[in-house]
Amino acid sequence: MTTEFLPEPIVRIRDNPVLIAQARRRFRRRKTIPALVIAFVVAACALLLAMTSGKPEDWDFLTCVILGFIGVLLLLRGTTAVQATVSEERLSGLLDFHRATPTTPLTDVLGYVFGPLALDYAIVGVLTPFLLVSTACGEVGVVRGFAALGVILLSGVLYHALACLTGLSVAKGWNATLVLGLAIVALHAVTLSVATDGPLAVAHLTPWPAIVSILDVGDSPTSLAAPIAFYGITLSPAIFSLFLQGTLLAFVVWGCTRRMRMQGATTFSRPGAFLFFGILAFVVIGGLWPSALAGRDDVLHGLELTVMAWFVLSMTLATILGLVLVPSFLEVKRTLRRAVERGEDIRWHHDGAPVLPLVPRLAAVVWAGLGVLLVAAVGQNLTFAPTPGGLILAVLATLAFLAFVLASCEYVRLRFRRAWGGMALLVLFLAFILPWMLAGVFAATDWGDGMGRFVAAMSPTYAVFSTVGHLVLPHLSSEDPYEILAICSTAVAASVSLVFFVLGHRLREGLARELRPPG
Amino acid sequence: MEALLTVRKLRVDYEDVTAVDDVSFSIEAGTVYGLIGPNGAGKTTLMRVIATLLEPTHGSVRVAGIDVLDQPREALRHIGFMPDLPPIYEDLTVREFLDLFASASGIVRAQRPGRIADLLERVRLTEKRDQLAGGLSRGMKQRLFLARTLLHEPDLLVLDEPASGLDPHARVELRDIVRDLGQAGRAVLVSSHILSELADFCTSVGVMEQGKLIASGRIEDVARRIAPGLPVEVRLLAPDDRLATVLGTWPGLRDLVVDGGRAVFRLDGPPEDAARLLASLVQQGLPVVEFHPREGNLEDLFLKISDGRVS
Repeated sequence: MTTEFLPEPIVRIRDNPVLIAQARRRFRRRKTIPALVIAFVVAACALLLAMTSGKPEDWDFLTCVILGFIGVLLLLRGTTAVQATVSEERLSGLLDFHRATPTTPLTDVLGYVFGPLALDYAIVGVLTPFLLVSTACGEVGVVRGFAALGVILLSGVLYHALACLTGLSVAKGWNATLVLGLAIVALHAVTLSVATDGPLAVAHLTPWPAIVSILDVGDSPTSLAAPIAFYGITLSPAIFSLFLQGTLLAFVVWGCTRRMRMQGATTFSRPGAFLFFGILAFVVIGGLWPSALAGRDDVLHGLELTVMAWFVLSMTLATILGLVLVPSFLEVKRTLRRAVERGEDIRWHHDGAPVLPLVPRLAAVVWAGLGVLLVAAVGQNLTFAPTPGGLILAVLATLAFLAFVLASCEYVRLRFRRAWGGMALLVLFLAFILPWMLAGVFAATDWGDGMGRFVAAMSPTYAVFSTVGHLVLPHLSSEDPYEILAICSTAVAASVSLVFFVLGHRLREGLARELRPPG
Repeated sequence: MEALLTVRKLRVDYEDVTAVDDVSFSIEAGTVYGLIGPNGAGKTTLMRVIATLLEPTHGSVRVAGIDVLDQPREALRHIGFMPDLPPIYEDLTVREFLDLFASASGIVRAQRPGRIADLLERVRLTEKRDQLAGGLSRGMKQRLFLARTLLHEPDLLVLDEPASGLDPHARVELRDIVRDLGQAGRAVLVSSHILSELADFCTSVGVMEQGKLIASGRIEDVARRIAPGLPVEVRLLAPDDRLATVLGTWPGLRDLVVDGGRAVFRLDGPPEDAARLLASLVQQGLPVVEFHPREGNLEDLFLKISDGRVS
């Protein structure tokens, strides 16, 4: 009899082989029955207690306890379980067998995101009827109670996808599991103890703002449940959290599929990274929008603070994304190989392409964000009136800074290959830490502050700090002429970037010659 | 006829080493191709590229006419890959383990139980089908994984060190299975650094060393290229000094090694020359009890063409 094969869909949900295998493994373990029985008995006892009391607030308390327990189960235990499973199977080679089957990476990712938690979902299933009773008997109500459960499940999927990505990326499985677990605990501790409002609060990476606003129970920490002002529109924290977490989930799953498809692939493609940067910028600007329109306090106009916050956040994001996109030696080789074989030019969006074309694009997002914020503030009585010279200098400083970071990192990765980390640390120290340390030393000695500033100007960060600082907060900046040093600092950063770029380009040329077929 | 596997100018670089360097070869249906080489020669890297698990720096790999780099998913329908020391899910039963990969291979659900039962029969694990895979012996695990590799009836089998760690009995079973697969028209690429293991079932060989394929082809052809002439072994009833004298002066005789009453050498020219040599030995009164062409020995072959770093 000839074996018949089904066409492979983009994603398999019902007959997902990884999911079924992982679930079978979890249900086979000896702790399965005891875990389910314990969950049932404890929930039943709690239900009986609430029934005995009969007060609505006791039912609501029971609802909160059940939701809290499910949260801890899925968000903490579940996340570390997914990370440990993926990491273990990657290191043992089992993951390679799944890669070497016709199933799509998305099917495998779904299997790993849901499969290792089969037992946890079964426990949630055991608790669900109790949640139904407690919400029906309390003030919360069934709809709101199950909406809160839905929020936890969505957050859980985000955390589990993130854990899958960590498992596919990080070399040392156990260390990563520990760090991930601690990070989740820290995030939730910060959220629940120092509850802050606003769209930029890290609390929105947890389900709690959405849950508190959905349940709207008694003495909840109101700042968590405060409405979100986003681009001037007032949003429920639940809607905002769902939007933010859903968007992040889409990107994390995308990253997982790239890494599932090929070991060593970058998490994002370059266009994907820019899309991600764009969406993050959209969220950040939306969050800063109301403060851009706020009035002046004693010292600062709301817009000035907003612009500074935007610069810090966007430059940090641009630098991190830029560094993530710096190709490894192997990626460069593979890109060159494809270009040689297909007779194509290497475009900026190819994984192993040079990084310098990314610099103006990253800077463009930073400055476009500033433009949007300024447009938002049109008509306000502003003290923020940048001069064309100061603006051009600030733009050049950001360009030089990003060029320095990316070009130096690219050269170090190509030149030192496997051992690039140590050299990158040295460059980081020499460029970003040493000048400021020496500046501090000079400022404290007879050499004076002037010499210290001159030394600090050797760091590419000096130009960014001084130009953006003078641009945004001219009335708070010192009276000293800063332009000369800023120009020097920008010129130094640009020159060093150019040197790194030329050296990196020569390494690429050498590799391309090596790969070109003879003749 | 297009080869089932065609590797062309393949090169694989790691960060600081070239693991496979300009390797080209092809395998046709019905061929059992042994990849020989010491540890670190690049065999596993080459196999991982063929199995779509590694992207090469340069070159191409086609399986059943499909480029594995351009269409990996389509190519995987034709490839069965069994790695060295394959890990398994210890807490799945033998049947569940095969069902997992039958599903992943896209075999229709109704056919899976029958296909799994057939394969378990073939690798003689039927009695163990409901036992946890973690409880199997090393040889059984290896056979289980071989069954997993055969699930989707691949045209090309890529077996990396399949017999490592197996007891002699299990090796014989594996040899028979691989030989049957070759006879059934599959192409089998099998690697090992233990040459005696391959000698029994390979029809062709490729010798790898330091990432390069230094010889490739049918065993006889490679042997002829590397060491021309007919390999002959002569054995006398008792040691006799005249044996070395006669053989030493015979025209077209090379690589002579005389050890007491036994001699091995290579003889150029047609088979009639061998008949004349035997007649001459007998005429001179040497008590010849054996005179026969010697079987091509992979180990000798490898040592001839490599610098001898073989296990």
